[in-house]
Amino acid sequence: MINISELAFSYQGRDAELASSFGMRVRSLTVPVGATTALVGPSGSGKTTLLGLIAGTLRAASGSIIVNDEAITEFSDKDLGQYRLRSVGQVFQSFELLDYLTVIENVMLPWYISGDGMQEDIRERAAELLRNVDLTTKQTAMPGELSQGEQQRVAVCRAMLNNPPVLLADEPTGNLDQENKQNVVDLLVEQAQQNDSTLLMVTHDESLLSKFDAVLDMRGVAQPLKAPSQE
Amino acid sequence: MSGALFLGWRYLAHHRFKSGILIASIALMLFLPAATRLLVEDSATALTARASQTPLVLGARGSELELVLNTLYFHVESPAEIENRAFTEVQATGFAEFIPIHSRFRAQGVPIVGTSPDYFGFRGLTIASGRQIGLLGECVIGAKAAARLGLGPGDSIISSPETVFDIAGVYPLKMTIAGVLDVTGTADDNAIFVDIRTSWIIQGLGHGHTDLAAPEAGAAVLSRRNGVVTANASLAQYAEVTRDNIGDFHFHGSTDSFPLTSVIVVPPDQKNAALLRGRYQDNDLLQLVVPERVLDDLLQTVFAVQNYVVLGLAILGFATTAVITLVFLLSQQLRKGEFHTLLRIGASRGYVSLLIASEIGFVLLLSVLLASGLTLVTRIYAMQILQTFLTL
Amino acid sequence: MILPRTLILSVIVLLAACGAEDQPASGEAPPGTESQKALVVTSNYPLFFFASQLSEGIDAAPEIIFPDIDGDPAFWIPSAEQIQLLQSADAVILNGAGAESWLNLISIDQRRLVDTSVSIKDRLIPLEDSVQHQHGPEGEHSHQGTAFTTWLDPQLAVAQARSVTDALIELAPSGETDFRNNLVKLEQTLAQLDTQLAAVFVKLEGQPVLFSHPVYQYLQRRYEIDGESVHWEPEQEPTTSAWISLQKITAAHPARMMIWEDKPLPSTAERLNNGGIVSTQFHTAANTPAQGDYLSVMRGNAERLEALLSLAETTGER
Repeated sequence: MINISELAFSYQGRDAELASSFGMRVRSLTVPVGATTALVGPSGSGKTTLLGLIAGTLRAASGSIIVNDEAITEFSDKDLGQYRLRSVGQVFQSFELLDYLTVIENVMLPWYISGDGMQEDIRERAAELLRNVDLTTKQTAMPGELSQGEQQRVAVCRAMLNNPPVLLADEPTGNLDQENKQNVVDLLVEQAQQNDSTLLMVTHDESLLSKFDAVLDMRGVAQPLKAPSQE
Repeated sequence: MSGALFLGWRYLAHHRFKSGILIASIALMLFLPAATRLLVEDSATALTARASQTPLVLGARGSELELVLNTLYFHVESPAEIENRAFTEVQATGFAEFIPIHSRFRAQGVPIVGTSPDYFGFRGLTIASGRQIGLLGECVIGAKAAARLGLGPGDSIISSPETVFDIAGVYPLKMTIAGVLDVTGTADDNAIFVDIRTSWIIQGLGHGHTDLAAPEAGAAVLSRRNGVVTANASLAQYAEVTRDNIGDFHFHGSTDSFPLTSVIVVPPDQKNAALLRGRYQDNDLLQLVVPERVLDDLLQTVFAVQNYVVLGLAILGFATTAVITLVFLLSQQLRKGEFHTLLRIGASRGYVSLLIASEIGFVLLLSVLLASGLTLVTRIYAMQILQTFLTL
Repeated sequence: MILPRTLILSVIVLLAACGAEDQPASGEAPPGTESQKALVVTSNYPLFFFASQLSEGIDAAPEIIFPDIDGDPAFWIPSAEQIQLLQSADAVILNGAGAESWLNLISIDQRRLVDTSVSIKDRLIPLEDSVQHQHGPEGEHSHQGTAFTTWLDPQLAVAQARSVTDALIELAPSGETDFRNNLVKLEQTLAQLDTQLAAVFVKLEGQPVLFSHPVYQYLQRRYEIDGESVHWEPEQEPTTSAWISLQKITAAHPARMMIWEDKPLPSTAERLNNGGIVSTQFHTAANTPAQGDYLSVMRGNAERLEALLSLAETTGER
């Protein structure tokens, strides 16, 4: 379960104007365990920011975020890194595969970072994930040799390597054609359901909303936050 | 940590071309000064080795360096000459072993060295194919000269006249190659060796012609009077020494006045060396020099030049390092997105730093290995490289 | 620990290798000893004979070789193989006195040459009738020098044998005593030959003779023979001008005998005989004889001459 309470966030920076241009407050948000939730809203409504706060790549100014009983707002940077490796799987709009690693190595990337577990076991896990998405024959291919749909499927496998309890996807279908959009979303939902992971996916595509358990409109979740100088 | 090393290695391996250029540049930066020092030191060693193997050289008073260079490397054109008398007189002292050298002429650009059989034992020269010089007019040729000219035992080579209009005496002599010498890695590989008397024949001090006492001499005889036969200008001289005409070859005048370009002197001990040096100390016409000392002076200059070259390379190295650093920093800038991905997935900043450091480490390691390998190869083949380009 | 043991073993192996380098294999003599026979090459047959006699019965003596020369060694130009033999010899024993004109034509280490005429330099006979020629600015020069058939005078032969002995001793010092003993024997033999020849030539005293070739100068001088030389080859018919020259010579030098190096053509001998000149042979033994050796050839020369002179005495022709 993801539980957010009295969360305040603003972009810090040298540029005071920029800092004052975006900040948001989330009074209360709860996402049940295992739920698949689509996050919608206009641009600038804080969808990506919310995912960043839940992933721990952004720090809240105040408030709390509790993910499966872990108060991540209390974590140090190091702890947050560990948390992401262990508990969060992320899928990005532009896939973000490393072009110098093979497909299976990209899937194993979290292991290359954490070093936790035996390499053979992790490789087997990665191979299994690729099997599930019909990419067994492309294990040793380089990302540049894959189609966009295939690349995103690899990214999904990477996100699922450690069976994360939380799966965050920020517009994963933004660069895909219609058929692949459907396939990728189906894959994400399927993986989440299989692993009992909580899925939060940002999307602008209304045709995909029906695949989710819930749809969260950011306009109802977050309110703009004035900069400290403005308050 | 091994994950960061793995990623660093894979990044370099994937960007082979860029990595290769970086590694090659750094390797070259490390290798060039090392190779320069190595080659200079080895060439100095080779130069001094040949000089130190040649205890003393007797020659015409004048430039010591020219005397030594001509005796050791047969390099000098129009060398100063001394009389053979100087050789026979000093030989009679018994103070040392004396080897006459007459190195003035060339054949197809290869120096012709007139000497005695002692030279071959002195320099440790052995026959690779064919045999040693037998009759006058024969020669043996150094391995490299033979290979370059495509000559072997049984072939001929003609000496070159000194000038196109040289009618006075130095005329082309066709010499039969009796043998080819083994490779020595010295100047002897690029020389043709003849008996000293053959060298005098080339110079026109000896020749062969029809027996003037014989009736066949015919039109070549100008007059026969009081037992003296005078020949005219139509007397044809043999341009080649063969078994059939060798009996007709002879020298005019006393060989005492015949020329040498130097005499190699090999005293048995320091005492005899000192006696010999004292003998020529105040001689106006002759000088006895120690080749090692003469070349030492030359080498001091070479080393000074080397230092400037290395300094120049060092400055170039700094500039190269600066450029490489700039390229590297730009590369990191371009990879910001990749690093961001790693951070987002859960890598720490320390991990990313380690990744970058591992790439730098691998590049440096490979550069050092490549530079070491090139230096080692240069070390092994230094003499062959020098011999190809320098002829020591 | 492994490292110190490896180090110790390496040092031991290294020392053993260094120590073993200069030891000869078992049964192999160290370099520089006399177990390897020296090689001596002589430039003519008489010197070969002397060297062989001097080396008789001496194990340490060098190997003596006289190259296979076709014809007169005076006109020999060594082949490539023969030059290599000369170059490889530890000593080349020369007659000297200009006998080896080929020496000026080949490349050889001068230190290996042994000139047996050095000790008799003051007793060499210069040649008078040399043809000189000149061309160019260098002026006159001559191609002849001294007579070289020194071995025909047993006294000069003894001096040459002594030079040969010195050369052999230098090459095989352990045989010095034996070499000197053999020299004594050879000297006695040559002295006997000298006596024999003297007894024969004394019968020619005051009688002019002709020599077919100017190669008997030392014989002539030693035994005071009144002789004149022509240039007739035994195997060739003399030309008409040669006969005419002979007539002129015999007019001033009424010889009744011509001494040939080899048997002349029967026609030549007959014509000479008809002119009152009997032919006989005195082989110079310059080259290896078909039969016998230097001594038997020289003794044969003496005996032949003796027989002819005795016959002449008997018939009263002289």
